[in-house]
Amino acid sequence: MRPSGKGQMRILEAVIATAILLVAFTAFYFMLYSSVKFFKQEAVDLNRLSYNALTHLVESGALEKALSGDTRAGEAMLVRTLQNILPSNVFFNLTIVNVTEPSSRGVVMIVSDAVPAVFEGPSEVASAMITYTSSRGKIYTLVLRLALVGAM
Amino acid sequence: MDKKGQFIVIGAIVIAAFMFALILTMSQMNVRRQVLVPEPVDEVVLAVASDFERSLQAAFARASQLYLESYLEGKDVTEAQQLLNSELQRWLEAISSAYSGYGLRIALASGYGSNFYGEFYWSGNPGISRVYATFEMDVESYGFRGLALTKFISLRLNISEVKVNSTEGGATITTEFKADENIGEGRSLTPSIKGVEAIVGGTRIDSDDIELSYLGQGVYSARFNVGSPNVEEITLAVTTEDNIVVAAKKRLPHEAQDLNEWRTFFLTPRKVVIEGNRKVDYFYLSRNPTKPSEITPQISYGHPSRTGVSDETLPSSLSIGPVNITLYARVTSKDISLNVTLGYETDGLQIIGSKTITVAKSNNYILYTIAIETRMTISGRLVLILERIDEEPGGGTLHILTGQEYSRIELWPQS
Repeated sequence: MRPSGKGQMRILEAVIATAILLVAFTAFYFMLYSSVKFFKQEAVDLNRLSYNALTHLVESGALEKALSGDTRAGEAMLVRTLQNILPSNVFFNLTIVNVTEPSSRGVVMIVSDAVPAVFEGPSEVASAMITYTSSRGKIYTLVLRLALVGAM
Repeated sequence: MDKKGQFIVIGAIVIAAFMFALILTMSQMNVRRQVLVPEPVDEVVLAVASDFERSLQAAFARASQLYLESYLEGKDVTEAQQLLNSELQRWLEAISSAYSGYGLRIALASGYGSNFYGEFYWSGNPGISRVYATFEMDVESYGFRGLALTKFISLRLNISEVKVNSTEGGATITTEFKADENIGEGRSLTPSIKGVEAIVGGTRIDSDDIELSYLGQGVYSARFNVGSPNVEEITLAVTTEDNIVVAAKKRLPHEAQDLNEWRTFFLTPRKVVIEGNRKVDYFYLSRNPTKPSEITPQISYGHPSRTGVSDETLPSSLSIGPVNITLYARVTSKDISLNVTLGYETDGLQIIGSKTITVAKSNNYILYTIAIETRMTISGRLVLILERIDEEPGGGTLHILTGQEYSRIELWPQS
């Protein structure tokens, strides 16, 4: 028996209609969850992560130890601590400035696990600043910059 | 030609177009909302609040250490108070500068009375070290205003027992003590102890020469040697892990008849009585403090003054030098001027000294210290008169906090 041409057309039209809807849904999905949104959310998360990392340094006592002992050893300890708490694709730069008195203002430490270019390139970058009063009464500002390498 | 199949395709295109319009609208809304990226308000405020606590603790620790040195060497102890003030002021300036880009304003809370005080009461048992501060903070860039930060640190040291065993060429002193940190609402924590020093007969015994052991439930035992078994009193100074020092002085039992037993009187509540149709709080002066409580003597036109008298008669010849009157007080309606007069009653009232203070309207108790310089011998009953001297009508319920750590009169011996 010869197949009906009408039936074949129906199937073809149904396939075309399904393809149109499929393409439309795919396009809409990417419009709704655009890369812009991922991008912004990453910046917010990275910013929170930087504050959390600073809080961890302070509350764990690592910062107090680093600032009260030998500078080299303190820097090494801060690098280790930050590398332990940050994801492997996040690089950091921590600058500690003594602001106890205007006259004594100066950089005490800069610790980083990345070259400066990482923070100036296309990576997602966030920074956070807090103040820290040590048990000896010295006041520092801590500026932590984080760079997410391989961001969308 | 059959056009039914074409309608399916057209229908799909119409549905796709409709969805396209709908999703595009939502997408645009989403993109616009992305502009409102969350600002780290919580993080900034928490960072400042957290550093405020650290700063106050560090400043208080340094002040208590300086106070200890001054106390032991008989130097001016007001330097410790000045250090506390200057350290906090320095922190305020550093914070304001560090967060200047955020439009941050931070200052001692404005309003009535003092929102900051530090106190070291080490001449009795228990001894107290405490500090209280309230700051107000605005962060203009976040539209954040009026956050008040309050921090209270109160450490108490109680020497419970002292045993003196004579040895060849001196004596061994064994004492038990307990330190606790008041965290409010009647709760306390046992702080970790870093070291203990003792002062006996003017000799300072270092931490290294004291055998310290923990007996459980926050009680420690300290054992050390002194050169003479004739011990009249001991002072213990405990340094916590946070480097805050608190000390207490205990006089030994055989000194019970010593006049020094009569040098501290505490304001103590008397039962509430009916005066006309009103209930009125009275107070008296006692060497035996009660638990912390409040007295609220109404002090107004009809009742401009209140008088508290000691419940015991003083020894016949108690010679006194400087007098400190410590009042924890507040008024709820408006500031009042209060004349504080201390005297003793033998044949009529004899005045030791009198000073006027302004008790500020406040929701919190404020520490007022009234110093009277004198050299005299007193007897009879000790009398404290609180008299309102401003003539403005209205208001005036005076709240006074009593108890063993609070409002009291200290009669120092003549130097």
